[in-house]
Amino acid sequence: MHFGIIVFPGSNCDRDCAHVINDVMGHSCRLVWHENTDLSAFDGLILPGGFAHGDYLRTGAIARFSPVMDSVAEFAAAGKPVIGICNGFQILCEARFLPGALRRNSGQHFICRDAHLRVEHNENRFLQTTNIGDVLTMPIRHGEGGYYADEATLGEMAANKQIILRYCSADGLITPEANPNGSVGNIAGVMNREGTIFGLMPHPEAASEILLGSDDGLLIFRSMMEQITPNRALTADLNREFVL
Amino acid sequence: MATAEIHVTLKPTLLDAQGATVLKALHQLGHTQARNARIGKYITIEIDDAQVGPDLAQRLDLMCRQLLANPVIEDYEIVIDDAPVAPGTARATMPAVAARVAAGPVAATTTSLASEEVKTLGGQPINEPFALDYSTYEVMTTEERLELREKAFQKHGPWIMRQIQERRAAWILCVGNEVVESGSTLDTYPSDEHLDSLGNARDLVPWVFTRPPTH
Repeated sequence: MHFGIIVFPGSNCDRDCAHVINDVMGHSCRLVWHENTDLSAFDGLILPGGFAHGDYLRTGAIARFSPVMDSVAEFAAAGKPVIGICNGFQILCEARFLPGALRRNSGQHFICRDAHLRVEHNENRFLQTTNIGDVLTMPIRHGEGGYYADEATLGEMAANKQIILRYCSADGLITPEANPNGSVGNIAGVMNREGTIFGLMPHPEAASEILLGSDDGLLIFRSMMEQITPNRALTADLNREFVL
Repeated sequence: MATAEIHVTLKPTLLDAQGATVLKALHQLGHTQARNARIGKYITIEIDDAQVGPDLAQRLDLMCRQLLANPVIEDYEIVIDDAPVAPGTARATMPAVAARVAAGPVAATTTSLASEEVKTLGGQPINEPFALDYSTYEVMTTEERLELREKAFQKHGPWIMRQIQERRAAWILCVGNEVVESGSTLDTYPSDEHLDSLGNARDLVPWVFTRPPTH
């Protein structure tokens, strides 16, 4: 599988992602400057972490208008998977590709530590190699990771199984103590309605080698690489093959 | 040139973690009367005269919705001040918000700089250069005046710089807590006679500050 990793001015996890895709997983990728608009070569996209445009105004607020973003929307509309990690998640929310917004951590501090995440749904393109209830461990490192969406939006998201990761305790309990940043409902990762775009604050690319403490992040990248989950576009393809 | 002031704040229903932290700090300092602190952004935008038309408010609203605020978590308020400001000549009218800001530094006279107090001839410390009467200033030596200017800048430097920047001025003339004149070039710098008559008329020191050279 060939990944495009979008590089904004201020992205800083792009090469970590490339290392995992290339060296750990043996797939291929290319870094794509945010002014490029041709994404046709790729099977999947990663919007990496960092501080795009210095986080000026709001995190992701300026990056949202980068030339590449229209192509990202088209890419996802074609049924190909897009993952936004940390700052990438913030950009996807600012671009309204994902519902909700990320605000300052409730405790004010920048947080850098491991977090436990419970898998809420696995029948999707991003967690299909996990089981519901699995507890994944990967680091968080952010100052603005408090997820927020209003009640109506949250209700809709829950009904569509878009809330797929929540912060939890080591034994999988969703508790206020396990919520590092004041996210509503301990939400750590959400998908768009179509299941093609996924954003999360934790860093799967920083938890992809057991040497670094956890390789749970690989489950997410592997899920993106396996095309077994029926999302709309892929279902259409499978049906065509079936008829033939 | 019209100026728009935009205030962006977190929606009131959302916990403002920054505001809550600041409130806690205020309480620790003994300001127990403080009840609610919320922190937002203050953005000023100058709008080209030629394009100022009836749709100015709509245009600004669009700017807020597209970029300046995130409607999911933030509210915004737009104040348009299109009072004409003739550079270097007539007294510049200050918009309401700026006037409130301007009142700030003079009110804060109780905190003095710890070191090197500037004193009057009678030995009284001068805490607030902006509030000093002109007759006292007139009898001070040049060195004392320079020290006093230094102190005014130490104490109110950011405010002074903001006044200069907001006006894109080469110099500003302050009397008390007010910017009463400004000029876009140093050619219009006020004369000594003018400053002297202004000082006598108001019995406050007329301070002139200039824009630092840009590199």
